[in-house]
Amino acid sequence: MEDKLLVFRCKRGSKDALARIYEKYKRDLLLLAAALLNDTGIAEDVVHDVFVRFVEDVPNFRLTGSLKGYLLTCAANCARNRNRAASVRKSIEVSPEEPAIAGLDEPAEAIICNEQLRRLSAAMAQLPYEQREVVMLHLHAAMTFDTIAESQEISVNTAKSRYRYGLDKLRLILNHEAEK
Amino acid sequence: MKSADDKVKALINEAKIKTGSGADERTLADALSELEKMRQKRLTRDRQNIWRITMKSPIVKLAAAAVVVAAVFIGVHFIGNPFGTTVTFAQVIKPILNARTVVFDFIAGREGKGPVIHDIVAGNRIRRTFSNMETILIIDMDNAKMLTLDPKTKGAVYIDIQGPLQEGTKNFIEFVRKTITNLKDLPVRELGQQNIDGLKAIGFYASGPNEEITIWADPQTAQPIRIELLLAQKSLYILKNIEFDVQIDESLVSMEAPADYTLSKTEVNLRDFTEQDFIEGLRIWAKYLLDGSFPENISVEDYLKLTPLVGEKIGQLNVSTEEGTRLGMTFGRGMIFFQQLAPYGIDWHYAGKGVKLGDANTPIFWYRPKDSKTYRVIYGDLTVKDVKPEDLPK
Repeated sequence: MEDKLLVFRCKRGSKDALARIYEKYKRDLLLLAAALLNDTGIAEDVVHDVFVRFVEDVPNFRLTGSLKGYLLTCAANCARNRNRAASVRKSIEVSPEEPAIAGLDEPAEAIICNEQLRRLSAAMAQLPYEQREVVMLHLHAAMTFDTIAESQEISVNTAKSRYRYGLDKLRLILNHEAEK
Repeated sequence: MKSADDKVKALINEAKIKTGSGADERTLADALSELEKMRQKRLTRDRQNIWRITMKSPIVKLAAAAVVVAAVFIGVHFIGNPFGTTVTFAQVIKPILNARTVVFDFIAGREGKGPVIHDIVAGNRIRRTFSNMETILIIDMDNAKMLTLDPKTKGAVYIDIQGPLQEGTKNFIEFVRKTITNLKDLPVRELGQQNIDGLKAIGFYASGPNEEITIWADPQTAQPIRIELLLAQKSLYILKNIEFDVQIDESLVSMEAPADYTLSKTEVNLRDFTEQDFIEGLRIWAKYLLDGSFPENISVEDYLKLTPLVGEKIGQLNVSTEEGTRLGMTFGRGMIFFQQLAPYGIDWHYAGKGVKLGDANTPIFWYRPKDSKTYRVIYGDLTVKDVKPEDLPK
């Protein structure tokens, strides 16, 4: 209900409501984008684009499901477009010399992330992009396979297969990591 | 042994990421700038539509509206009009008197000092949220029921608000409507054009024996954008970000608790607020919130600020649920008693700053009940005496 009210207020031009939505969901969006793109700088750009587009669309926006789900779907779409356009990340192994996530070696007012994110991102980087996306949307965004299939315009069975293959590979990677 | 799902889930849950401050600023600045563009676009569109909408309205509605506006218009004396025939006071008050739905922010006291209440008023229902607490109130004024929703605990409570609270809870627009009606025979002064909340606005001011009202309106559409009410020269109420006749999703004012909330019904006595409630409220304030001293000042603004803290402090006390509820209700009833003083034109004075609870010699609060010749004076030990006006503390 709170989200419905925040959207309603946002539609009426409330800056406080917009700032509240941003504060509430930015971490979820950033984590999804960082895990999908393996680049924190681009992940920040994705979050930026999602919020700016959300405001552009808000006059005609009607919240039917969860706002978090909607924003995460937007972030996944935006990340996919960036991935396609620049072919930034491919399903190849990350060189041990390179940082697990690009952008992390830049000093900064930069993003702060922990070891678990580095591990997650390094493992995800070894999956084909499509598998990463389904795994993250199902486990992080708690989206059903039906919803994922609909948002990606694929069949439910394809979504489930991508998830299963992705998860199998992640199991191997994480087990291998544990043995080291 | 953990499944792959669990392992990845755990990794995701433990993954921590924080944006850099620069990124937050950039995203928020760009998003807010878009929001501002959207707001301006909507304002322009509303300005273009206003005449069309009026013309398209059924004549019966116009006639009915005209009767109400005419009733208020009678006896209003204009003192000059530097803006020619652009906007009149009658035009400005028209949406206030006639709107079926109103959305606005409400501030008790000076802006920026206290919490902001956000009201969505749709007919007889109000959805009220607060900037300093997460509790949501849905008020059904016709049936005198209130549904409180706590998003943190997912708890929902139905409360019967028959009696004075029902009147007191009637929306602030209704309160403003009443005040305007009370002021209809008094002169209205134009304040000229100013920049109000980032918008050009034309102001109108009127005052009565107990109330002063300032309305700032868009000079082109005559839509009020800010209303300031001063009661008894002490209690200031501000309404801003006001919008009339907006489409409101019915679920926002539904009296049905959301499916994921646990509903309970509570019978609470919200009738007959007494001086004793106010005194007990002062005791709770001094004893539990301020370590034994009375507050520096008391106002509706202060009460509103404290509301979430009271719940928190009572939660920390080693008392039964019943006792905790009683303390919370007493504080709330005390607030309502105090809140009723200014609108009824009751003279009151607070002098409790620095006084310790238990100080029998120092008066902390006095007020003159309606039609009474003497004042009720409350002392630091919370005893009360009737005192003649000439014997009041200087």
